[in-house]
Amino acid sequence: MDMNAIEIHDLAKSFNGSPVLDEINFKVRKGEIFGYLGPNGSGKTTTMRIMLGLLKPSSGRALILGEEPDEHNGSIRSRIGVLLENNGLYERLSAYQNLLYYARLYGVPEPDRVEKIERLLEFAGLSDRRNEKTGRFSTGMKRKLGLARAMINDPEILFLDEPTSGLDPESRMLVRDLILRLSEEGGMTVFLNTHDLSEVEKVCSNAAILEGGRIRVCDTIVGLKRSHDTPVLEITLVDTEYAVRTLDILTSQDHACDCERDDRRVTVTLDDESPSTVLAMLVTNGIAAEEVKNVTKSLEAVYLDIVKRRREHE
Amino acid sequence: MRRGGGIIETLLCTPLSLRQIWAGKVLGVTIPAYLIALLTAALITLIANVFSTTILLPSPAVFLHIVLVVPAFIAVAVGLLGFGHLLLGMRENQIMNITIFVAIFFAFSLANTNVINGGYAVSWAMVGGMLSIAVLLLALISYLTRYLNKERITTTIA
Ligand SMILES: Nc1ncnc2c1ncn2[C@@H]1O[C@H](COP(=O)(O)OP(=O)(O)O)[C@@H](O)[C@H]1O
Ligand SMILES: [Mg+2]
Repeated sequence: MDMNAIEIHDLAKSFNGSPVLDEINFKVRKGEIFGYLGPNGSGKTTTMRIMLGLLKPSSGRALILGEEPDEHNGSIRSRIGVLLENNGLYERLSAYQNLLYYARLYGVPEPDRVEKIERLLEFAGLSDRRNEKTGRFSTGMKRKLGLARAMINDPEILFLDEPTSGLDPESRMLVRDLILRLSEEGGMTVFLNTHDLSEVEKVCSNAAILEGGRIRVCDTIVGLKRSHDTPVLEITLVDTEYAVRTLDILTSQDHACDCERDDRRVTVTLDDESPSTVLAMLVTNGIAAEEVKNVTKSLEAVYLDIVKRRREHE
Repeated sequence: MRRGGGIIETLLCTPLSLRQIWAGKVLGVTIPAYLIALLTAALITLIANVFSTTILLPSPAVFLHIVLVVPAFIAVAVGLLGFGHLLLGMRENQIMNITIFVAIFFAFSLANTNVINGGYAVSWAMVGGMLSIAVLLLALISYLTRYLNKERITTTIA
């Protein structure tokens, strides 16, 4: 059956009358690693809490595996895994005891427990620390164990709230590797909150950018890059006169849609034409250029634009 | 600062119901608190015996009181506090502190009336009556857990 793992329809949420989320719509298909990207305070955790049934939407709805995450219905909860900001570990229990505790909570059948716990400890790279109290673990170890803990019930969807924030670069890389392994080896659907664009580029197959409680863009990573990687040529002419002529030529033809001149420099935003078409045009008109640079806007620039726009509003 | 919801937020995402989470909390705190109470009572009995010429032992009623009524009332205290925690967002370590205080208070009052005075202040009827009250109170709180909701817990504790 071809069913979306997650569907969010016209979701809105406000706290005491002040809106936090508005007109949120997106779908996550099975097997995707969906990055929910946005600056701090944009509403990522709130969205996730609604999907987990911890908060009720003010309007609209969230469908998880085709069902609303109803407070009184534990069946959806037994099919998902969750790693929130808190790792959900008991510091006075060992790594093994923590996993055993959650295995019991999720009703993992007794004969499977030991094998499953061993496998998860191995997965988290913590087999040799199994009997140590987790209170003594480093932040990175706790996070890896938290991830293993979230996998105890073989979830169909894994929800991760900023899984690598607060980690040192090495642990960050390790945790990202674990997430990628889950997806590649297990075909896991992952919903991942993050404020880190590079995380999305490294780990995710799809992403939505959330800002100010609204989705600004939502696409596959490839699609996001393609649609936002608008090629921009920066042409520096030998003198201002040439620059003025260049502007005339490029704007008179309806080729280059968007041209700007700053002294000797002309910036051309390309629509359909390739950089070579523009260059050929300059050559046929006998214009001498000193330097031509491709200053394509990356996904990062797009994200920063969105985030900056918010800062300017404030 | 990360806004961490604590372990409770993770528990709310497991298949457990709010009542089960509450009950788990009650058991998890009552047992160690009761053991502390028991230990304290034993210690006081021992000290009383050291300073006494005759051997002082609790009567069967007092024994039952210690075995049934004391843990039941500790459970009631923890149950109320746990419920308050879920309802109002009280800090967890405060619960622990108050509970242990209550447990020790029980142990002392018990040791005081029954062992040191050597009296039989506890009758069978009293044990039965107090146990019934404790069980009723627990049942009442357990029933009231249906009025807890995750949104309130998440927004107050998290
Ligand atoms: N329980 C709450 N009560 C009031 N406001 C809240 C509550 N939870 C979150 N908010 C507000 O909602 C906005 C989004 O928060 P959050 O979802 O935590 O963002 P993010 O996870 O993207 O950093 C913030 O402005 C935050 O202050
Ligand atoms: Mg957050």
